[in-house]
Amino acid sequence: MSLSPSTSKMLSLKSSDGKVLEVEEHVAVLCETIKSLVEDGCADSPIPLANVDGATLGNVMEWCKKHADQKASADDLEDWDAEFVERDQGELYHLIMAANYLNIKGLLDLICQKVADMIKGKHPEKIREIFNIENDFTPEQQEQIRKDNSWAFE
Amino acid sequence: MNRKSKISRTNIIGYRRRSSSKEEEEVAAAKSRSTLEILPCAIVIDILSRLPLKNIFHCRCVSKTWLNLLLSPDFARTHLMRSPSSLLLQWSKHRRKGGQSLFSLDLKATNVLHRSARLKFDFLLTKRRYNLSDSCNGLVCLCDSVSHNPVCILNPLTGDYITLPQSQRRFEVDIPFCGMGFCPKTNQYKLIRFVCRHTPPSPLSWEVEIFTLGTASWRSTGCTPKSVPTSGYYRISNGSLNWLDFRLNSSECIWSFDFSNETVRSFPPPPQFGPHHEDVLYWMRLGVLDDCLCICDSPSGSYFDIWVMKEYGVQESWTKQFVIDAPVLDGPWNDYLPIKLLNDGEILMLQNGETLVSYSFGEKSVKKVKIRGIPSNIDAVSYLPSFVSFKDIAMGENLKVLNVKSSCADSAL
Repeated sequence: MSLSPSTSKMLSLKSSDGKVLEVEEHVAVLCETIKSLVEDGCADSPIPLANVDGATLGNVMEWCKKHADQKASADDLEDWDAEFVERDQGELYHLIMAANYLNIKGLLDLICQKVADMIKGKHPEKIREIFNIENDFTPEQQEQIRKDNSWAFE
Repeated sequence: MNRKSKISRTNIIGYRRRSSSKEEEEVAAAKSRSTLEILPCAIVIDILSRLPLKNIFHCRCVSKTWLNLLLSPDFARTHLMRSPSSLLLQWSKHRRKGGQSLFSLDLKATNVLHRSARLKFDFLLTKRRYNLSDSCNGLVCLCDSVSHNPVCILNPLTGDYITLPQSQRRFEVDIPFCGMGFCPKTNQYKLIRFVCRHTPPSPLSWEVEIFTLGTASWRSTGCTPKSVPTSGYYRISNGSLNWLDFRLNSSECIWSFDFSNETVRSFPPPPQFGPHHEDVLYWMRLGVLDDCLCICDSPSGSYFDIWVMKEYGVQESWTKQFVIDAPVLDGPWNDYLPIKLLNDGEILMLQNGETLVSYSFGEKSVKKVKIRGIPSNIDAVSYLPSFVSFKDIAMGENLKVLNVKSSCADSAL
């Protein structure tokens, strides 16, 4: 089956909250999960995506559309990606979950790296604050673990 | 970012008020937990494995959940796959009181010479001095500096180490180094050494002895190679230990011991190499550049060619990739081991096996690389920092894991 832009037809994707999105096939097949369905000939009716809500699906397809554009240069894509990941944490996590479910390695890598960059260079207290993580160490455990890793704080 | 998160949570609360069914409320509640907790462990591990080493130790102090993830074999595996290829350095001449230090230099760093690109490991195993022998997946083999016997395998990042059994066999001549490799098929780490028996009037015969991590003793492989490497002049690539030897057969002068099937084979150098290379062997070095085996060759003594074997074992894939046109630094007849291409048109090399230098292709000049805190005379091996734990890689009854409580630090002291 040819998946080139010239022969691309439209696919219907249905999100978990019932929204239907019409997407060009050559864009949607950047999702390996959808690509397998298309190749197996199971993509006729709206494809139900039970784990992705409508807003996130819209964002994912925006990324796929940009990355399916063969005219976009590597530099152009890099700049575009840098802007694309400027979102609040909730949106980033939903994008990660969607990229994982739809099996889009490039998008998953991009967002995981973005979250890693948010952690980079920060001390534990700041990381807990930014990511809303509960400190479940007892004071004794806390003291011990800080002692064991003290070199990293010098 | 904080402010943004709060706004998004307020929106979701608004959405919850409007929703009537229980199911919708649950979905909204899940959405409102805009913490990393909603992500599967495998993805949190993926994210944390992208951090610089120092930050990984910070993250161990964040919560019990993160600590457990960071100590898991899954994290060690994921981290190893993207661990930055580095160079492990050791003083070659000095002896420091109170312990020994190793330095790790991150070769993937934007600026290899910046302090953030290096780590220092301090540890005190015993009062004896150990020499750096080889490294594989973050594990380092140390040899006794006097007897050259391999003594222990250490993970400098975690401080865990195991001591090695002595070989029961007696040999007349040992080659003073120990190569270390990994066999992906069996998930085994192996140490090899070349030992020689000489009972006149029989000629010398070499044998490969092997130690598999988790087993009790060294064993003979039955492999008796015609050629053996010398200390410091072999490279690990493609699951094999490789060395150069022109003395037996100049058309098949690259020798290789495969860690998986435990056999030795030889293959050809670039087709342009002629018989004259036998004479200049002393100045030729086998190296690894971007995961490919390479030869730094000096056909005339006045310049150097760097040949890269793009496809392992394939003679047609040899490519003359660089020419180093600045042979004179501290006198003629230096040898250069290529280590890493740097971003700004320079190549990092080890001169005469002990001095870090960089060559600029534009300026055609070689200069010594001075790294604060690291002496100019060094031993160096390739190193991939890892959190690999002996308990996960060697399930054996004979494994006793000890810890030296090694401490790491920035090396710019």
